[in-house]
Amino acid sequence: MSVLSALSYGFGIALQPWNLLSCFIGVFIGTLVGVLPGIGPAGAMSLLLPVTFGMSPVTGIIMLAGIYYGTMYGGSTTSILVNIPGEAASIVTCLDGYQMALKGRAGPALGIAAFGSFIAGTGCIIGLIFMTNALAGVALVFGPAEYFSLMVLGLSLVTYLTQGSILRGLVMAGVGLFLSQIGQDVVTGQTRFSFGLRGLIDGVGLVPVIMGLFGISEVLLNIEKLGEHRTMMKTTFRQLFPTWKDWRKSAAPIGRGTIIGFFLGILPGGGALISSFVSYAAEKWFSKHPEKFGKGAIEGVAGPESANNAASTSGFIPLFSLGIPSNVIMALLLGALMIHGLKPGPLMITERPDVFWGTVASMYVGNVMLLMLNLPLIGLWVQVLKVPYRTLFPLILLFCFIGAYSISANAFDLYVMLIFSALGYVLRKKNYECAPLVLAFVLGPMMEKNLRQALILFDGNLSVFVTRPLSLAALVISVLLLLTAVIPFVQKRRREVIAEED
Amino acid sequence: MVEKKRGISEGILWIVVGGVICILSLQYGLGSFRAPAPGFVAFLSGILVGGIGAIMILSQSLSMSRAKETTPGGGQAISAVPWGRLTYTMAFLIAYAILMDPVGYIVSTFLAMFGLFFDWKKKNWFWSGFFSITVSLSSYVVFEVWLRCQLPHGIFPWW
Repeated sequence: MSVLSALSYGFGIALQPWNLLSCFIGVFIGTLVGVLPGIGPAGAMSLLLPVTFGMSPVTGIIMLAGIYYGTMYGGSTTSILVNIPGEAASIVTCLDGYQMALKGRAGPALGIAAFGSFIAGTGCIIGLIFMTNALAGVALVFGPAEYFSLMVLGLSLVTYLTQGSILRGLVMAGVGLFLSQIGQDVVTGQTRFSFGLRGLIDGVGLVPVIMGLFGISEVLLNIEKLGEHRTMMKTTFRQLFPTWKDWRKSAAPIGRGTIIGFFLGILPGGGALISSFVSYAAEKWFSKHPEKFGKGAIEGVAGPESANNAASTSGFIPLFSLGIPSNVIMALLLGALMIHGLKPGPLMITERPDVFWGTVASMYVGNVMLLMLNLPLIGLWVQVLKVPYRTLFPLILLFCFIGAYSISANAFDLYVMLIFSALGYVLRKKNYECAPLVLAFVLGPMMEKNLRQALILFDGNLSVFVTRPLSLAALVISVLLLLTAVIPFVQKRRREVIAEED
Repeated sequence: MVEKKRGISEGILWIVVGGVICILSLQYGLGSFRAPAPGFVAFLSGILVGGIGAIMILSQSLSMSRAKETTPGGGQAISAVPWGRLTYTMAFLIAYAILMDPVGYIVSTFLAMFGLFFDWKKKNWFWSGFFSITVSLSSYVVFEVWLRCQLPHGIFPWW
């Protein structure tokens, strides 16, 4: 099947009424989640995961994917209007977006964020089609040693790119790896570390873990700040369209943001947050007037907003082609695909073209929906933002409870979620990042399977990991990354970057 | 100095955690490189956690000898946390988790929402009650009736 005919096949699936509806629900909820501080895409996707059980796999995945890229769109609204990022990837948009709003230019800032996101999202879908196909072809020759080493590289990158200390990131990865071992052994079927609890026989559930670490712990952190006043900017639909001058200034940043976001999104750990920061730094570097950044430069909104949308799309490439998630959201999607009986990896494109091409085409449809939703509905999102957090947080907690319970209709998952929410609260207070823990938790069973398969296949010969070129390259890069992080100069730079991000 | 001591205690904590993981893993056997047993990867994770804990202590001890050098991001002191509000919220969440199965979704959600919506300063009894009833009934309709999520029926088996 040629790419064009495959894409038209994908559109045929994406435009089916149920899939259109699920795409709309996904992007709508995604935008809402992006607008509301306190619940991220991981929490929202976990909540709606049980809802997808009754749907066909493609319909369910279309909805979950829609939530993710919808969040990126919605996150910019709060950054610009309230100076509070609805989503971590929109932190950098606060710098110039809010300044533009203070100068009475909230409309063009919101407009360029929406248009830039649409252009970047669309561009990246084209890249995703070609790159996934190419990578899937190469991945067919990978053995267990290569897969294991690639996963080690993925974890190393995520740890390296965490905002805090690398040592803390590594500890989190170790804890996540251990947690993934709870439950049945992938090779012998023996139950491990269940401590006689029936609820642990199948292991710790991904959704309660994510809900606890990212959903409830976030609420616990936010309720400390109950009663803080938010200043809101007023804007009308007429003011939303950027002027010709704005477009001229924003064209190159949108293009650069798309490219930066696309490539950083593919890298494990790269994701939307980092690409938005890199794009901002790049725009400041390219600008003839870097002194205007932070004071309301439209390039500082156009670039990062394009980059975070591009990254959220290209993050699907390693998931679909290798079956390796590049961040927590992709880890959740991997879990969702597996629950639906699908096995993401190089064979998925040929075995389940409906899921792959249907999801890809739905992303384009979703981007069009988001553009149509975001501009006219700004007024609605502003109203939503006016809901006080005191009223909002019980609802977020309720959604977390429903999401965790309805996965297996078992109260045990609620206890697991509460344990992880307390753990997540303490860890985040102490500047430990939860992303390496979750990624190691998801990758753990796959890493174990591939490690043990490689050792059994090669008669316990550890050299298999260093004699195969790709495996060697992945391991060398991992070691170098972790070693460079302890070099004083690199440590100093990382601290500076973290301080800037804070 | 306090920061460094905190770093050392952090390292000790992770060594203990790593040690416990290793001991637990040994119960399931490590096997050999030719045939790794179920405890093999868990043991490696324990080594990683404990090893990093040891590196944390080492790096903190080394930096202790260097004057005025600070480590980034020690985190917020737990003593600075508004414990009252947190304990109150967590207590309601724990009670909600315990009650959900035996009492059922609607009643347990009403009780939990009432507690969470209630503002001790404003004593908003009426609005807390109104919001709690609205939220528990509407969420039941959306998730149980429309989306067919399996929520517990508890003392009202016909719901």
